[in-house]
Amino acid sequence: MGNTAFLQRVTIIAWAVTPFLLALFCVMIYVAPLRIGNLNIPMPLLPFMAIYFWVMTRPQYMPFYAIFLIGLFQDALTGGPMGLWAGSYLLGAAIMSTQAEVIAGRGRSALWLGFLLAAMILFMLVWGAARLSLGPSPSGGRLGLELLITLLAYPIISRGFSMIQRATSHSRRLTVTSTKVDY
Amino acid sequence: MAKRRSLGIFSGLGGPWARGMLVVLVLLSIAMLAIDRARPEQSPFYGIKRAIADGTGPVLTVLSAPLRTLNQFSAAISSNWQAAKRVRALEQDNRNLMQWRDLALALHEKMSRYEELLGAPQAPTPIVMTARAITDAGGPFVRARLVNVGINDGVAEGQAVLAYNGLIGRIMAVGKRASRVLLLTDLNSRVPVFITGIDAHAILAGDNSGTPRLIYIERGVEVKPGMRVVTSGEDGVLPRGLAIGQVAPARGQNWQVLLFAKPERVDYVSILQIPPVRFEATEPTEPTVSPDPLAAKNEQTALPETGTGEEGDHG
Repeated sequence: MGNTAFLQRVTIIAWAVTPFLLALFCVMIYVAPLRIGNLNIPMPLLPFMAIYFWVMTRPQYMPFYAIFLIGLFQDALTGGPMGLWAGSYLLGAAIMSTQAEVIAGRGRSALWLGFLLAAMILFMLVWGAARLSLGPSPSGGRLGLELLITLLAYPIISRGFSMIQRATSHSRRLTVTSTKVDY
Repeated sequence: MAKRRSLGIFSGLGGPWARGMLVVLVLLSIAMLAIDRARPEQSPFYGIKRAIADGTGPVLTVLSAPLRTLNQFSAAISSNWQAAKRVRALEQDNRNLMQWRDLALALHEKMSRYEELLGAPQAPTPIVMTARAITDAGGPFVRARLVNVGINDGVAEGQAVLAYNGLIGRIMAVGKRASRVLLLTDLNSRVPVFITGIDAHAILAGDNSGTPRLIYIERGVEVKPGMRVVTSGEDGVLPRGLAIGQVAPARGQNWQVLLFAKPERVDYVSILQIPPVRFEATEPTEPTVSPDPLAAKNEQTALPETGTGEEGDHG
């Protein structure tokens, strides 16, 4: 019985950290050389999609310290100045959090519109931070293209996140129910 | 409930702990950003970055494998599609390259004789190591890539990284199993170069665009589009004479360089490991002979016209 309770607790924790681990995985996908042919198309900003999705739907699974760690991980992997993405993600998430009550529960189109605004704010934040940190003006054109691709990719990627979130919620419910039965 | 309402739009940020944590973490990010502004190799977070690159290296290698295979497959199809045309072009290239090879061998022999006469130290033969790029160029602000070799393979900071048709950057940070390459196009990249044809020195400065700028060009020289740019070796880091690109006009009477190799698209790279030169006290074999370098320069040999290498990249 003790073992079962322990396993159930581990399962609950595992599901709780899934969004964070998924966001870290998104960072690795973001930096991996996944070009198709000779097309020099930037990768959509997958980590931000994960952060936005969980901040809007289940903020308890995407706390600020997790967002900070995701940003630091991205800074370290890209080789850029530490704090660039971490700070931008944090500020972006803080702004999103203030609007979560307005957007939540109004369907996918509201979520996508919210993402549009959040992504634009984030890209402005990160561009400003990069300009302050790196000195000369970073390439705005490439950043704009990345923003556009991120916006276009969000509806597809967020479906995947929804499926994962439903699966984790379902498993969590089952685990909690079985725990209650055990007691 | 009433308390949450009184916070207005900030109620979404959570309780006082969450809000406090947010403020602390934002301040921490700003502090990190401020102290990490120095050159990448002098970053106080060098160790963290190296450890993360080392730890994620194997995962990134696995992640990039499926699409790499797909790319190779599509490249093979595209190659077969125009097979006849490509064979003709390759035959022409081969004929040109044979002439270049003969010329290179003749010059090498001549150079060896001059070095022998001068008692110059023998240039060490570089060891070439092949590596695979396991990350893309690092987002919109940084032009750096990780490669899957590190200290364990003999990689050291400053070593030149080349594609088959030109220099793409240098090793900036080395971990045990992975290293970071600072590309020529990065904002932090500064490489002393030599413009052939006018014997002018300059600095190649990256600006995160695909075409780095030429700055600090020697005064009194007339730069022309199409001139070749090679490393000058004056930094004591990169060897002299590595092909980089061709000069092209930029905005406002400035010059930029069209790189032979596209650093963002290269999948496999060569890393040059050059053993240090040993300066030994040797006496010139024939002190009475003073070879005139100008004489050698005036012996202009008709060079065959070939492509400069800018026509393609590694797939």
